[in-house]
Amino acid sequence: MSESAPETFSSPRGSKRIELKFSENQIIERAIDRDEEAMGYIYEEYSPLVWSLALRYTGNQSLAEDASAAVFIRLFKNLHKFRGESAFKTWLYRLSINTIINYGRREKKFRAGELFENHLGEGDKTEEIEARDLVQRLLKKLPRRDEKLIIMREMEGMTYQEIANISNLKLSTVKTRIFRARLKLRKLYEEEV
Amino acid sequence: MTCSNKNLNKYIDGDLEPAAEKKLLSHLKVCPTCANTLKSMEKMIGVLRNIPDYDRSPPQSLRRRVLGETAKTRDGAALLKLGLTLATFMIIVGFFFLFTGDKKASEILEYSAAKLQDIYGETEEISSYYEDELFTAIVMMIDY
Ligand SMILES: [Zn+2]
Repeated sequence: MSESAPETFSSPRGSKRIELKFSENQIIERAIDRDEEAMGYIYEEYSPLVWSLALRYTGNQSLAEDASAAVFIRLFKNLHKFRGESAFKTWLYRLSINTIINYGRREKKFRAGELFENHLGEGDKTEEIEARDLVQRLLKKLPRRDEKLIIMREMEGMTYQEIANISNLKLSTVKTRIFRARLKLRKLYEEEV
Repeated sequence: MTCSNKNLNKYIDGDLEPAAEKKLLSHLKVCPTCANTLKSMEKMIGVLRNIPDYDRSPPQSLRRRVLGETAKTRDGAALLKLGLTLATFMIIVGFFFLFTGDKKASEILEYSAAKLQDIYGETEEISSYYEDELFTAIVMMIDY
């Protein structure tokens, strides 16, 4: 694990950092040994990021909770596999997005527009909610890999470089794949409308 | 200017040079194909870009669930071992009580039974079969 400055990515909805008595390395080591305090630290530090991703992706409170819980349970189970090749946050983000997207694909019935509803003014509500549900449905028709890239780029607002870091792909590959994924999505949309 | 999805893509990212952007914009006015492509792409992408940051902190129930469930998995094996040790101990004390009728032994037995119950309350890993068998044995022993 790098002691250097963490790779940043604009997960804009980052948590406020809490003061740590130990280095992140030490905390991870202790969490691998199932030290409750260390696990609590990791949860406090990263749950806003995981929660925000899950909530915006599913648009549904209870589903977001299920998906976030799945992320953390998987995280604590696989913590020993973290080798420090990337920053911990990057590693965790990768695990989170994979878990959450898998979750979304398994759940057939959820309506992504549900939560969105409360955040819209009257007027064009129906249209926007339908559009949100449609996008979610079409995203699932893309290969998983493409969906992930689109989510990172459009919903999370990451730069191509940040996406490349998280996906372990070359920058040029990321650009090409996102370009193609956008075209596929557009094709699906036109077939539907 | 010819049709170019690549340029549309760059336009969406805001990566076109001003001159190229100007060209594209005038092309869009005369080319319904490109105009339509852009419209659908912007529609889809716009939805994703406009998902609000709901600005909610994770619910307490998530914390309980995550840290609770993980703690349980951790303790599962250890608790099982502890439970079995305690049960063995109780059987020994139980037999001692059986043969001597010692009052102290009966107290120890009751205390152990309560502890064992706590342990079982905390783990779901142990199948209810063993749980039932064990408790039946203990209850029979105490009754005796
Ligand atoms: Zn054209």
